[in-house]
Amino acid sequence: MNPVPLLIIILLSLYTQNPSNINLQSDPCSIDTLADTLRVIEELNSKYVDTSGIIDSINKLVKACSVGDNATALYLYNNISSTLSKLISSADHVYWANMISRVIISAILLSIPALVYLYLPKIYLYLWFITRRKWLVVRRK
Amino acid sequence: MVSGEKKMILDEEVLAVVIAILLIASIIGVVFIWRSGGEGFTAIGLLNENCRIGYYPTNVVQGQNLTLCIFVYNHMNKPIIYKVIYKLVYNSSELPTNTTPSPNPEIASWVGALNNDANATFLVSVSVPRNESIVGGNISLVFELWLLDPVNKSWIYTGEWVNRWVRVVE
Repeated sequence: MNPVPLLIIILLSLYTQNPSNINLQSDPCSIDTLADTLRVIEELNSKYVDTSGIIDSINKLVKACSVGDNATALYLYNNISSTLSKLISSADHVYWANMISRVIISAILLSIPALVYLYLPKIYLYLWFITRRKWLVVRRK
Repeated sequence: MVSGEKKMILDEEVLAVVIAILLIASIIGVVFIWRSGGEGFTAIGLLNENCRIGYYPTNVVQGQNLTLCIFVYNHMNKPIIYKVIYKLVYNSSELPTNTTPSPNPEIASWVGALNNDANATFLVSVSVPRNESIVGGNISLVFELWLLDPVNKSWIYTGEWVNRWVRVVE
């Protein structure tokens, strides 16, 4: 049995099931297209993906749409779509990397008081001893 | 403590205070790491043709274009697509409110997209239509801020607007 058609069907079904996929529509200036694109960007933003570059492009896109420059709008929209597809594929990785780094930083911050409680007296006494170890003890007269 | 005996700097009380300060600082640090951006809001401002506050035009010739500057700020904790709508209002009852836009028709609009905590300042050229009945009277140049709602796929009025009353002269 040739596995290629089956593989294509599986890939297509996975593609259509992903809610993040943007809807490739013919009119990049329609409110539906802009709303769908913005929804995907919001979703990416909530996963801590840097969308500043995309927003700059969206800004140019809506301005091109407002002056009726459909050719520029279509060109920008195609670029935005391809960039969004790449960002969507890395979104989960970025999200978990961000969460893990936050957990690690929080754990380090919260452990500082405990570490100070445990080790500060020992370090203090050690330094106290180091600075005085050449002292000689003599009985007071 | 015997008189003349030196007390160690780091006794139990000092250590307790140090630990308490560190604990509070750590908790504040963790809260800052996990906090969200707070309540979301947007803002719109009206500036003069040099994009500064003040020295706004007071008189306008009918049919003449007037240059003003619009400031839009986004703190919705997410990117936005906005639209600033220009309307003309002839009496106070037609002004927008914090919940409803002005009922008067849109004359012009400007769109853009902003990241969270970003702002845009841009010049706009607005026209006052030629109408003899408004000469000598006051009209208000109203700018309303609308946002694109990606869920309902429609423009939503934010409740934010700015205006400038001017006298129409011949």
